[in-house]
Amino acid sequence: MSYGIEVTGEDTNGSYLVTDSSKDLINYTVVATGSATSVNLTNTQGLKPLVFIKPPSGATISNTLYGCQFSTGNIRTFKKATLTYTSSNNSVTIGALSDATMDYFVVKDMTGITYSGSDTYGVQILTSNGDVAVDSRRFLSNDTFTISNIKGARTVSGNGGQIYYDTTRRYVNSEFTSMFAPTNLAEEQVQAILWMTNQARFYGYYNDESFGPPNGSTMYFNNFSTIMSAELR
Amino acid sequence: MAVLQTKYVNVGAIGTFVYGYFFSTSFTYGTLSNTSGGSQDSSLSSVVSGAVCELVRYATSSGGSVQMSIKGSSSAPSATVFDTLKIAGTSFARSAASSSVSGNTRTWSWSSISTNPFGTTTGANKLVTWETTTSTPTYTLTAPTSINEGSAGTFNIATTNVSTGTSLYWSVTSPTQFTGSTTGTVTTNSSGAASFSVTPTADSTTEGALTVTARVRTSSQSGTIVDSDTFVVNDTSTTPGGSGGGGQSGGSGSGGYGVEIFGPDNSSVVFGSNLRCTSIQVYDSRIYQGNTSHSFTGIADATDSAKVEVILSSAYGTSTASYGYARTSANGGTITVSNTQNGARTLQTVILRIG
Repeated sequence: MSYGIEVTGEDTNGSYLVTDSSKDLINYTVVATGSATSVNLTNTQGLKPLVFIKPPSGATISNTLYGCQFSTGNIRTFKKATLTYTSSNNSVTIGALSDATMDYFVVKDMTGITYSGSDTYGVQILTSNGDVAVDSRRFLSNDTFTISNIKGARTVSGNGGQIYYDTTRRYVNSEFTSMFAPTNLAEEQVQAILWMTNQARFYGYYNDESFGPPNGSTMYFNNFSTIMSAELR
Repeated sequence: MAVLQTKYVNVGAIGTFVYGYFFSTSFTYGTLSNTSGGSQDSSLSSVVSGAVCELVRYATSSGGSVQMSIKGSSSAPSATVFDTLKIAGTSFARSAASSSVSGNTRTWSWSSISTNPFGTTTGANKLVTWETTTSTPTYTLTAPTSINEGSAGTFNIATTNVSTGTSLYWSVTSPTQFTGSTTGTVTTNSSGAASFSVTPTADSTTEGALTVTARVRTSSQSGTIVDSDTFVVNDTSTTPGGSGGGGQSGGSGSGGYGVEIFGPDNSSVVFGSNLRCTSIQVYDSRIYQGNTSHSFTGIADATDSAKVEVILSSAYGTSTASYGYARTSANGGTITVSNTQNGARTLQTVILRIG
């Protein structure tokens, strides 16, 4: 590059690029962490906010699907439901949804973070488009994160395909999840996460009166969106 | 026996009849990855350049069989590109397999296999290796202990079981501290040796000693690192001093250089040269008509999944939905997102820089 700023680093896995103003890289950073039944992303969204979730230590995980529902006002409500498997026709169904307390952290890109103070010092890096790539005033949290594993869209079986394998429970992004199960169970559309002691699995399926239990088999779909697992450092 | 490539199969199944891994644009079971439980990566470039593994499975029918397919980038691979396929510790000699070709894909089949090497537990992770009887090559890079600024230092590469004339690709870190090339290609001589030199810049600046890493790779400058060594650049070219007294006395730097941004607690580093960060390079949402694609160009390191990742998002659909992306080095790095089903689909693409 002939101008601008480039930051590179080096660790045991080799060199890496931290930022480069000539490549229009907009930094992702953690803006909130906690444990709650919902999270409010506020009105400033940025390009692609991500909410990573996992069941807290001690939470029920056996045969329990977790996901979220999207409410008005950019609120995501975390939900859980008990998963029941019928081996005779390879079908699954969930019971009633209930609110779930989840450990979570939210990451946003710099364009989605509003600095409300009045400091005029620090470091700001702009992209060639004038977007904020990095602004030292927009780091609202002391936490940082790393993406541990990525499963490409359409690569994970909806019939319990593996999202990650690790004895340490990881966070999984929630954007792909949805849990729709009317009380009469006539129709279910589910894309959700089943955590186990050493891994997490994906369930994506559709049941209706014609195809689903008790009259037929569940229709499983691979993941329609990329699934990421991540950790706070 | 040298291992050409190592993969892991996260075992998928069709009923109780087939166990293992299969991937196509329309139907998939199991996962092939580079780490146990890792993300899908079917590349078998260390077996055949540019090739991918489409299938490695056990089928119970007809007395039991193992099949493995490799799809070449432009033609079917030779039947002898490996000598042994090993699945979870069980070896399958290529010489005992029959092979057939369909298009760019060659499939090797072993019949009368009574024991399923994958086992019957779906989701289990099984080690799969492609091996050759060729002796394992070794590479040893020896750097000078230190090099003074303005002086050239020579690095020696010694190899065993490497053919004469083999290209090796070297590089050093901190390239701005050197005059002349900081990357290059050398070829091994009849003794399996090669060498290269670098020269730290005499910069007339006092910045202290600098520790630098030299690396040797095979295949390309982004290929596998086969050896590395470190050396110290001695700060022998310092800032010219004035005639007056005072000023700080000498002392070399501690190596604690770079950029750091601290979080609100003024002690946690949240951004900096010692921290791998994640950035959005591309955000895009558009409607892809049936069987169309869109390319995002100028994505440096697009072919390196350790540096660039692609996040695709789409709405709920049907089991026939089929879309994905491909990486090439064309046009400064290109990510091409494709919708390979007949119907239109809205796809959101986020290209992340992760390393």
